[in-house]
Amino acid sequence: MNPTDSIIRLFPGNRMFLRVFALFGGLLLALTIVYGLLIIPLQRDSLLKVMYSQASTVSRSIIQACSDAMLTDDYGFIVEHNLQVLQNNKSILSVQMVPKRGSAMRIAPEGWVMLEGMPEEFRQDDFEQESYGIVQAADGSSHYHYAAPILFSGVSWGAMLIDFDASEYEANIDEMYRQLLYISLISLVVILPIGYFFALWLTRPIATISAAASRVAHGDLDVRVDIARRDEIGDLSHSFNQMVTALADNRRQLENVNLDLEIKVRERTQALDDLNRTLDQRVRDEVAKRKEQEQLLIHQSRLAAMGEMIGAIAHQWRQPLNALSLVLQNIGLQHKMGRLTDESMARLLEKGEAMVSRMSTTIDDFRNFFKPAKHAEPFNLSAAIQSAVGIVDGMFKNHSILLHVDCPEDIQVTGYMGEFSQVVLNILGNAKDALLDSGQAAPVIRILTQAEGDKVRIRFVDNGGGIAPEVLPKIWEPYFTTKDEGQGTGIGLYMSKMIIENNMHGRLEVQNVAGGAQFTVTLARFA
Amino acid sequence: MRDSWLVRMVTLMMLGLTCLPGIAEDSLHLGFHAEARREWTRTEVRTTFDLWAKELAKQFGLPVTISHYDDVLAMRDDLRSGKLDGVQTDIMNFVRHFRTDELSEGYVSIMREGFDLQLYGGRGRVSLKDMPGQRVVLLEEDQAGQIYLETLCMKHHRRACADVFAEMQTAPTSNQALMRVFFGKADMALVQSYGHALAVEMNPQLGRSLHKLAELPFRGQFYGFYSARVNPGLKERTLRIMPTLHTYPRGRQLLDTFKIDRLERASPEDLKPAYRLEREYRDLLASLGRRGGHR
Repeated sequence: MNPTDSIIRLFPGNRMFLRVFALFGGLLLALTIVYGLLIIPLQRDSLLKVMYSQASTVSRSIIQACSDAMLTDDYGFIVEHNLQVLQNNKSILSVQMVPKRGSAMRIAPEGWVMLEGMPEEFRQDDFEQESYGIVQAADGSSHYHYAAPILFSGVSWGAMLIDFDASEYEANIDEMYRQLLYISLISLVVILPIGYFFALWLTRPIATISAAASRVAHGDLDVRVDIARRDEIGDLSHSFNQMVTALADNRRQLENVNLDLEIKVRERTQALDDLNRTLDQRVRDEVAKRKEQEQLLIHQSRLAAMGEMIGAIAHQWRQPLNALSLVLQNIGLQHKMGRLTDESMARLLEKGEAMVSRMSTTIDDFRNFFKPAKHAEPFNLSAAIQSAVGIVDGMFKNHSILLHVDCPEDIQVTGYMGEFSQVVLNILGNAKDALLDSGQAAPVIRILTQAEGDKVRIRFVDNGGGIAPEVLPKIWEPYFTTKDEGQGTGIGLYMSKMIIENNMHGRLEVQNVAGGAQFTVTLARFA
Repeated sequence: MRDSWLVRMVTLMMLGLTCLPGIAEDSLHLGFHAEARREWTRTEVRTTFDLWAKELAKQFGLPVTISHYDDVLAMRDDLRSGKLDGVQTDIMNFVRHFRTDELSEGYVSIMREGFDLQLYGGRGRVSLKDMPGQRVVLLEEDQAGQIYLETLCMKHHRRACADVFAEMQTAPTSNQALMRVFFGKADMALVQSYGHALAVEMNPQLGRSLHKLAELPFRGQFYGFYSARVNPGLKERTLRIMPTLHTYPRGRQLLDTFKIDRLERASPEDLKPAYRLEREYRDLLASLGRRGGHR
């Protein structure tokens, strides 16, 4: 095994392990360092307090021992005493006596000297209050400098400056930092294996479960984790195993269900195939039957229309035929009476030809009306309505039915004009029958046309008493009629709805209004 | 206790024993006259000398016993009776209480700057004529210095110092004595040369402010001499070792304890300057006594 493999084996390659390891190690190391950094200032303060205590004690001792000498200006004693103090206390670097009157002196283990001025370290405040602290000497070494006023009965004699060797203090601080470093290193050395095993202990089962879950995700339901721990991770592994077992059971059940389903699907597919094989034939049969019915309906519808048309032609022809008969009777009578002249003969013949021409025009009109259009095309709505009205106008006058048409001349719609006129004819015919059945004394039919945006609405309103509510839902069904047998075919309104909604993409609706019924045709307006 | 007759009897009996040839060869018995000096207590002095004896015994390779004496005459008697093989005391005690013929070679404690007696005057005092009416400071327990100053007073002013100086003070150290002059608490100071050197080293300003008025050369202040009856071989054997104390750490440590630089071999001849001083002093004293000038 090469070293790299060893390292990889030593450090499992999962991020959780590294995070836990780094977190654990970093936290403990940080705690150690923070603890050390908190302790060191306290230790430093303690050392300074010790040094202050020592300085204060030495200062008081010297002042007490030299008080008489100070009061009698016996500087020799002061120097000698301080030399002894220095000899007995190697940590004192120097003592400086600064009398208010007279020259200051500096006493050190190696000698003493009278100063010509004030000591460099002296401050005027030293006559009034003590001061102390670590100072940096010119040679770079650290001193603990202590200055204290010398007072006798409240009267200031001067001040005393004592410098202590702070090397021990510095050494102690250095030692503390060194110990902190050692402790940190030792902590690091201890933390590394502990953190390693802790992270391993914490993450290895999770990694195991994760790997097992990954295998489960890839479909391996035979995998199980073997973690015998009495904690949440142990519970997790147990639950994981239970979950995988349940998944395996569910998969087996699912496979069984799928198998059953497949069998059933195969059976149903077979049945469907069988059904499909007969269904085509059935559909074809039904379509043929439907077409046949529709042809029949169309035929019947045409026959009905032809009947209506023939009735209408009869109405149209009745008056000119009577007039033509009178012309012929006049010709005969004038001939008998010998008063038939060329002029009168020519006049009567001309009158007769006019009658015949009028009758011929009527036939042309009816022919045009029934001439089927092959393509949808724009047509004038008013003309289409007038065309239908023109056919039934005579008949309505015979029945004293007032037909009122209100339609602007400029409305164009797209569709089959002849078929539309057939619809108008059907609606008017139904209205006429309803008016006659109702016995309305002043029967009226109003055709009201109104353009609304891109739509146009044509309403056929009569005062024939309306349609019975129970009849309304069935009114569009083929072969449904309320008329007596032989009076209606039951296909007029059905065909009208087919024409408007299927062929012209409009709508045909019916509703009862005050005193009668209202059929409404809605079509798209041709711009 | 040593002054009681019973002790003296016992001592004499023991002296007889120790004087027997052969016994002296096997051990060395020294007498020390050391009073409490300056900042040292008697116990400190004696304990220090005991340590010294142990070290010497180690170096000599034979037992060394030390007897401490408060009375220099008792010590002299023990030496004369043969109880002691050697004695150690101040130079003036040898001059005043011992004969040179009863002493043989010994050692002297040496300071590099010497034990010369030096009289210094402060600013404005430039000669011995300036002595009258001044304040002088002497070292405590300095017999030689006191005699020397009295000699100077009688020699130059025909009077005792008490009549010459306005005030006579004592100081425990040369340094303190000289500082008193420096700070104006005294006008003159009689110190030892090593003390002056030390004080000037401690403060050169002090050296510049003093003027040497008189000087008497002295090799040392404390001497140790063997009895003239001590076995020459034994004496020679020990005297070869003692001057080497300062060459090894333990020996230097002992010397430092006594604040001396080294030990040197010495002979009774070295006492001559002190004998001369003593003689001059007595002559002057006698001369002034006859003239009635000395009080």
